[in-house]
Amino acid sequence: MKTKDTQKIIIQQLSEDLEDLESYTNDLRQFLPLPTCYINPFHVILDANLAAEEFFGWPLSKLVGERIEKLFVAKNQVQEIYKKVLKTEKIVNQEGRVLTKNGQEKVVNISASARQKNKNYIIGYYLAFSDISELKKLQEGLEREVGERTKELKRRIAELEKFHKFAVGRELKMRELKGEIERLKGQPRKE
Amino acid sequence: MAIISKEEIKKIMEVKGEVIGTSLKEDVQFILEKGGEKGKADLMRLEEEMAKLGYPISFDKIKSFQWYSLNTNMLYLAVAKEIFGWSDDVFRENGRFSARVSLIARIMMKYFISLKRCFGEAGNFWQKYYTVGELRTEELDEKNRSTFLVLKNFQGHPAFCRILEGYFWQVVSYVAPKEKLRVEEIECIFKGGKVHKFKVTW
Repeated sequence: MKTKDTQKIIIQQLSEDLEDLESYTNDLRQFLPLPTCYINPFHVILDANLAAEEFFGWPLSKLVGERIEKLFVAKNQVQEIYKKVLKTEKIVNQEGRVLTKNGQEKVVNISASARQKNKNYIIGYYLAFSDISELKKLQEGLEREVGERTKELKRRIAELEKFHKFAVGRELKMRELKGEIERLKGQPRKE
Repeated sequence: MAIISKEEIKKIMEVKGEVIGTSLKEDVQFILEKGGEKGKADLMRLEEEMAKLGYPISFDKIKSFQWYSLNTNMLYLAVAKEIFGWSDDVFRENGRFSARVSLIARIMMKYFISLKRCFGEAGNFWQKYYTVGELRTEELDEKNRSTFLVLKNFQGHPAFCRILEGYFWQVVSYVAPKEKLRVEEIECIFKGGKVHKFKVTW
């Protein structure tokens, strides 16, 4: 049987190990650049990393306890995500729109993963948000430019076709007139 | 003149037991966030007042998983009440804040999946924070949306009772709708009761 002193040493050692673990998770929490939240089955945010605090503009103490719908533009998307998580346990890059503290809308790719208790039942899920607003803007700009250029091209083709029609028509008319001239040349003159 | 009377200090110092360091760190975080730009100065002032009373404490040296005297915890809450002029609502806010940033709450997250599981773990939750007192859920009535949280063999401090109201409110809000959620201490050792009894309705 271990003496009280030995037990004390073990407890002290375990406490120090826990301190190290806490420090490690804190460092990781602060370093990870992808905004990430942990949500319970009631869709309440229970944890968030520093990137999430910065991305949404809320400190941890204001994010935790809030319903995750608060961060979504389309509130029903949360239910959709949760249903998918229950079914497939994982979602990768599903597009969505979220809201920041100052009301700014951002386009994000959402990834989700279920957290299970002893692989028996789901006790919550993680959500990670990848900001694609700039990419989306660029894509929309390109699409707009392509659209405008296509429109311009169509207009020019139409002009060309009109000209072609006109030119061909003129050519045909010329040929017709030439034929007429030839025909008239071959006819005897009327005195 | 001391900001806390000798009688009150004596009473607080009679409080037995220990509290886990992470709980004190939550209070520190609250003071820093509540104080905003002057948060650090507030914390220093609290340390100074504690030293003046003869119970020095260095908040930046607190370790999350070391145990500290509960009476020191209760004393600095009493001091904070005096020097910052904290009302009952601020202490409730402190409790809610603690539950939101708490490391212990993160460990207990796995139980925030239903009312039954959450209330069922109340005692376990308590033991992770304190070496004294037993917290138990009584008469959980999901149909009528009410229950009682009963804390036995625990002295504390009146300000701490408000913190508990806030803490319990926050934890229950993870599994129950917030709109009608109420947590109120209906029996208190400081008001002639035998236990601290909190009525929770949602």
